[in-house]
Amino acid sequence: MSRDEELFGFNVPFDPLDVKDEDDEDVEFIGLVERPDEDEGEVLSEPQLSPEESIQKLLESLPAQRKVLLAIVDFCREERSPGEVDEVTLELQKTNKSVYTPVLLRQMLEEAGALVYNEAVQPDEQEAGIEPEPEVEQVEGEEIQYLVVAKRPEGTWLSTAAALTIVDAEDPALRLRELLGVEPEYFGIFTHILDFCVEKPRTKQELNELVDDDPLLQQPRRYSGFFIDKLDGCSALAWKPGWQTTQIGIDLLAQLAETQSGVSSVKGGAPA
Amino acid sequence: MSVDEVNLADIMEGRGATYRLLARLYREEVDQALLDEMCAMRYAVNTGNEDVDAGNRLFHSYLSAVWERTLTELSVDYTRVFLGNGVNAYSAAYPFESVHTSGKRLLMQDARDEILTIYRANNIEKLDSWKAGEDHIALELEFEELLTQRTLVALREGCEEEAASLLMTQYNFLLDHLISWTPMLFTEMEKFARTDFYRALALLTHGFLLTDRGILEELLADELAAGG
Repeated sequence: MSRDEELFGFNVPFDPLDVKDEDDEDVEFIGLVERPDEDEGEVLSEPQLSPEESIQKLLESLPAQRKVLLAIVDFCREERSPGEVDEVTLELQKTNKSVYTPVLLRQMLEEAGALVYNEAVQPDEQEAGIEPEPEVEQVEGEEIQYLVVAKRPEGTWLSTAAALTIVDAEDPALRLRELLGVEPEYFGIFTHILDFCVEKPRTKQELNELVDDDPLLQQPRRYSGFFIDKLDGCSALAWKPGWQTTQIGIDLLAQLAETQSGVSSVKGGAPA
Repeated sequence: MSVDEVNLADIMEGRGATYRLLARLYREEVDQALLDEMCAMRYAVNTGNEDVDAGNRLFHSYLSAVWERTLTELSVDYTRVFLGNGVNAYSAAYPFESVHTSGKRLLMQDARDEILTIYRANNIEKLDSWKAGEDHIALELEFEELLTQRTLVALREGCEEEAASLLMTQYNFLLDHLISWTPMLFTEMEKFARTDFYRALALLTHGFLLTDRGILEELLADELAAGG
């Protein structure tokens, strides 16, 4: 046997009938029609976060919802029914249109450890640890029994201590100062809007006309909504209806005016 | 036919309502109106069919725990059970006859062609809004419901022969199609479902289809005996 024969197996007789067609029934398909393994594989565990860290992570991941989320937590200092929380959330969402329903926001808050749902269980049932017997209905003249669905008693939502600590530490004025410091190039735009909205509530159209043509907003292209959202998130603007500067915004403008009339050190940057 | 006509109308209405409900549950996710309707229903628990009883018990216990997140949970589970992640042909309990009757679990195979022929023979076309195949379980159940309604009309108009013919079509369709492939679907629903709602749906549908076969065999006893 030569070396080539050993390497390529030329000594094995070729049998054309042994070649399997792709459409043969006994072909084992892999890839697109592969059977899944029974076990679901290794699941990577996420790092354990404290309740405070989880809540902060949620707030950071949804900056546009921050104000609403914190307001829900604040509202649930006392036990609240789902309907009550819905009402407050929908009111807040009038000026913060969102794909997140009140139920979904509560779910995210609960998963982050900011809210807990307390079931409405009768004390005697809770103590005994028993499930209530289902109601059975027997129709006269029929042998069949029917189970009747009992409505689940409505529970209540309550904020956790960790969430309330975050709400209580919330300082919109500080957040506003941080906002101006994070994007100093837009300092003038932010303050221009705040100043414009002090006197009376302004429409979105008025604010568009105020800033949309500013050369600073052409590249990257920004519109007034970008700044309104951020100022609203810091509670420096509020919908009345019409956008109006809040006391937090007015205080900041006053502080800026004092600084400029004094040392005049504020130029395109955040106040100290 | 061996059952008197007064009972027959009641039976047809009951069958039609059940087929309609089941078809709706498979067609799309549960919405608030359907959830409310199901919470207001009563669930029979000693019907004589183990699967029907077990399914009804599961429906009852699940619906007794309905709360604000139930709709979302059901929507997620519907997607998980019937649509899956699409990675391969085993990612969900695909509700199409072709998937379960073709070797490679493909859509639009022979079963769909057969189904389409049967629908057309009965002067039925799917709506343009339905973009999936005609062999989806929801359409097969709805087909039975539609023929049940036609049977009811025939009975009210005194057309017994027409009614018997319609019942025979339902019986044949049930045997040749629904009962032949859905057990595989129900096994997969059990595997993929995370809620008792869709486990209950699998049990109830299975039990109901077998019960309905019994009903149709009783109603068509003479015709089946004559047919050999």
